[in-house]
Amino acid sequence: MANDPKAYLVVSVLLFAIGMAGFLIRKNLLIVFLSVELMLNAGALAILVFARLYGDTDGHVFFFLILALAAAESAVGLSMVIALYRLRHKLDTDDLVELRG
Amino acid sequence: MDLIYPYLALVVAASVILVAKFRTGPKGFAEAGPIAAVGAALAFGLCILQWGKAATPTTGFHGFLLIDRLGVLASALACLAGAVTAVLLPHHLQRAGKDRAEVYVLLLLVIAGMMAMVQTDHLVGAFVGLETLSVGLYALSAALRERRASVEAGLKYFLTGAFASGILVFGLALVYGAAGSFSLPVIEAKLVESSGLALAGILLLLVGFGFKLSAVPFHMWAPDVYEGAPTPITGFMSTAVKVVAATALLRVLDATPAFSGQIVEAVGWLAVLTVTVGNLSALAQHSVKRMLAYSSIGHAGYLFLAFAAFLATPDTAGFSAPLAAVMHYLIAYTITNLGAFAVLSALETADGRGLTFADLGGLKSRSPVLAFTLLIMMLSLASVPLTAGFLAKWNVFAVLVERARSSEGPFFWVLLVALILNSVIGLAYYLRVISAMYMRPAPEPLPATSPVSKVVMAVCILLVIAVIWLGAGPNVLGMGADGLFSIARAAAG
Repeated sequence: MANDPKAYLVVSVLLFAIGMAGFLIRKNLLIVFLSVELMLNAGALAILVFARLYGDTDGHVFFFLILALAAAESAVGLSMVIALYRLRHKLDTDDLVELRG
Repeated sequence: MDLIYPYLALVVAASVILVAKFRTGPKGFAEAGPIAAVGAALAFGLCILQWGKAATPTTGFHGFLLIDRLGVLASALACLAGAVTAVLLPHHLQRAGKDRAEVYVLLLLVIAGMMAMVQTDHLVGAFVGLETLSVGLYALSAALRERRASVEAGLKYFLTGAFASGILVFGLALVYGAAGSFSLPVIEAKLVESSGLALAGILLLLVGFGFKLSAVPFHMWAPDVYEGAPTPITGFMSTAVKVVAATALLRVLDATPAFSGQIVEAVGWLAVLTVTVGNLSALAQHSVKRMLAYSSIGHAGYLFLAFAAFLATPDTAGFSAPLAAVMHYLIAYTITNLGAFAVLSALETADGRGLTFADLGGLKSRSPVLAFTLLIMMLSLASVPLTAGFLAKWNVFAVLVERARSSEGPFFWVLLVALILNSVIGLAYYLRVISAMYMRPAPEPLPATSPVSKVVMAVCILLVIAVIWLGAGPNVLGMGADGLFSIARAAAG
C-alpha cells in the first residue's frame, strides 16, 4: 500500500480539484491565493510520484524548483495584497472594480 | 560560454543598476533607464550575432540551453521590445513622479526569463523561464503602487497568472508521467501513440498557455491588466510575452505530433472564439488603451489560427510553412504594437487617466510626428497593404487556404471566413483612431501632456520606418519585405 503510486496520484488530483474549486468559488484574496498554492503543490506531488516510479532525478529537481517558485510568487503576491490593503482596507475580490468596461 | 552572452549583457546591466541604486538610496536616479535600454539593446545585438551559428542547433548546460534559430529570433524580439520599453519608461514614470530604479532591474531580468523560456527544449527550463518572466511582470504591472488601478492590475495578473501556472505544472506532471522525461526530444520519441494521460496533460498545457496568450475563454484578465498597468509595460506585455509564449507552445506542439489530430479542432475553435470576441469587444471601447488590449486578444486569435494550420500539417522533418507564418506574424505584430503603445505612453496625462478617442482629436496639428506614427501603426494592425502587418496576415491567410484545399471537410474554410470577417471588423475600430486624430477637432480644454523627449520621438520614427520597410521595402542587409519572409522561413526550418 505504501508503495502504491495510484494512491498518491489520487491525492494529488484531489488536491488539484480542491485548489481549483477554491480559486473559482472563494472571494477572500488570501484564500484565493492559498488555493493557487494548493494547485501548484498538487502538481509537484504528482511529479514526485512519477519521479519515484521512473527512478528519474529530473522530477526531484523540478520539485525543488517549484518550491522556490512558489516562495517567490508568495513574496510578490503578498506584497501586492498589502499594497491593496493600504489603499482600500478590504481584501475581497468583489472590490477589484477599478478596471472594467 | 559564448552561448550565454545575451544573458550576461542583461544580468550585468541589471546588477549595475542595483548596485548604483544602493549608493543613491531610495530615490531613483536618472541613468537607470538609459543603462537598461543599452543593456537590452546590447542583448538584442548579441542575439543577432548568434543567428548565423544557430543554423545548426547547439545545446549547452546539460541540455537546458538550446540555441537554434527559432529561439534566437524570439529572444531577439523580446530584447527589442525590452529596449523600446526601457526608452519609454522614464518619461512615463517621471510624469507620475515615481521613477524607481528597481523597475528597470525587473524589466531586464524579465527579458532574461523570456530568453530562457524559448532557448530550451527541456520543459523544466522552459517553465523556470516562464515563471521568471511572470513573477517579474506581476510586480511591473503594479509598479505605480500608489495608484489603485496599477495595484489592481498587478493583483489580477498575479492571481490569474498563478492559476495558469498551477494548471501548467499539473499538465507537465501528466506529460512527465506518460513519457518519463521532461526533455522534448525524448517526449517526441516516447509518445508515438496517443494515451489518455498524455492527452490530458497536453490539454492542460494548452489551457495554461491559453491564459498566457490571452486566448478566449482564458482572456478575462487581459483587458483589466493591460489597462491598469503602466502604459510602456502594457506594450511590453502585449508583445514580448505573446512572442515567447507562442514560441514555447510551438515547441511543445511540435514535439507531440501523435496528438495533433486530436487537438486541432479544439485549437481551431479556440482561435475562432478568440478573434471574434477580441475584435467585437474592441469595437465597443471608449478608452484607446483598452481598445488596444482587446485588439491584442484578436491578434492572439490570428496566431491560434496559424497554430491550427500547424497542427493539421503532416509532420515533415524540417520546414513548416505555418510555423514560418507564426514567426512572421510575431515580428510584424511586435514592432507595430510597440509603436502604438509608444505613442499612447507619450500622450497620456500625469493623472494616469486613460486616453479616450476624444482626447486624440486634432492630434495631427498638435503633434504631427506622433499622429503619423499612430496612423501607420493602426494601418499595420488593420493589415492594410504596404505595411508589415499586411504581409504577416497574408501569410496566415495563405497557409489557411493551403490547409483548406488539401484537407477534407469545411473546418479550415470556417477558420478562413473567421479570419476575413474579423479583419473587416478590425478595420472599423482602427480607422476610428485615425479619424479621431485627423478629422475631429481638438478637445476643450487641451489635456495637459508633458513634453516628449527626442529619444522617444526617434524611437517612434524608427518603428514607423521598420513597419513600412518590412512591409514594402527593398532588401537591405537581408532585411526588408522579402527578407522577412526568408528570416521567418529560416527560423521555421
